[in-house]
Amino acid sequence: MDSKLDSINLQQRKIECQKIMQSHPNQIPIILENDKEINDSKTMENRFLVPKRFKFQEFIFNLRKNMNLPKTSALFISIGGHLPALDKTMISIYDEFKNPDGFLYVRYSSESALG
Amino acid sequence: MVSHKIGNWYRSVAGVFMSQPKESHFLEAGTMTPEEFLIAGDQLVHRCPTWTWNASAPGYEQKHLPADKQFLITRGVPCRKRINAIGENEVEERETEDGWIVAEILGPREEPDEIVISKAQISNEEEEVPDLADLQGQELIDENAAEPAVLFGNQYISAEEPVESIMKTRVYDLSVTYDTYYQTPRMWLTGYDEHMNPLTPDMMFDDIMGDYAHKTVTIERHPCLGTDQVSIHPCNHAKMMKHFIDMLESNGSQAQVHHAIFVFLKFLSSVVPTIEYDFTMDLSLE
Repeated sequence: MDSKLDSINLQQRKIECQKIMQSHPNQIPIILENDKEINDSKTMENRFLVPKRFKFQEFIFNLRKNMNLPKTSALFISIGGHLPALDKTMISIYDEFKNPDGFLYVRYSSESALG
Repeated sequence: MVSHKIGNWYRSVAGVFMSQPKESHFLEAGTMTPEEFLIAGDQLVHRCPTWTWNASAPGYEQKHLPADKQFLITRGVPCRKRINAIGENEVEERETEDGWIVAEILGPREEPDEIVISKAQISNEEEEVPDLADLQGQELIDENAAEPAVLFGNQYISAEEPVESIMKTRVYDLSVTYDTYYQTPRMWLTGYDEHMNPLTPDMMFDDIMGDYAHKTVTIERHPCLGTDQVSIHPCNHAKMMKHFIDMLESNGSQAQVHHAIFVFLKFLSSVVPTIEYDFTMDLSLE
């Protein structure tokens, strides 16, 4: 994972992840990474805990809300090089694509690509 | 945009007379040649059998495409709830001290789309296997289905299901044509209510994300069918595709033209998020 988190070693990240998962047993810890720095979402929080039962679609909906994206912007989200089906639950995506450190890394970029 | 409407007539005429590109500009511009549209369409039909190639209505044949592969269509796609029923109210968010944004589902989660068959029913009615022919347009196998006793789909109407959710279920026929002016795929929608009466455009706007309705969505003549339909305007589709191609490139891989219609459908699902055509597709970019 070529993220800023490289500076923290795997073991530390694992511990942090276990801690957060213990305190939120029904949520999945997600770290959002911007694909490029050209984004219009300004500085947003990039750490999310979402319900395991969330559908991928709900996650995207929520993300859009948090990012305050103009509704005519397209949001590109890939997880482990995949564009998951919208009806997958976050727990099934997590099981498939989680990082060895326990976090789920989600890449996004956005573009006002429609309209 | 107002300019769409002014330009539509010009483009529909100009598109007919413009010579269609032979050389690929997919990677540098995100546009597609008719040949690339065919490749991507074949791939879609192969991977998602709910989509099929169709011939045009007599008099509306597109010369740049084979007679039996004029446009792509999928019929009877369920749309179980309106957009304003998603999201809002169901989720509460708060921020933790160490900067995590926590989303929580409020109250018991309603799952009107899933009907639980009780064990008694299953053991007594083993022979009552639903007729496959009645399930057209539905994905029969859901690899991710966790509970075996839960069947997906609105086709099993049971007494337990709230009447309201049945009433709201609409279906859509979606088609994808090749836009000769913008040289991209273009999506068209025809919706029906629960009694299979056609929806008016205004009713269909309930299923289109707020800001898109009336802006990027226009009512125009379907090039292959000749009927007036709601369409998602393709003016920025190439730019969107190009953005996706660049994103892949920055990740060290190259976009494949046969993925193009999958990608196109993925992105349009943010315009019509409750129309469930996309729900079974999981696209690997590798």
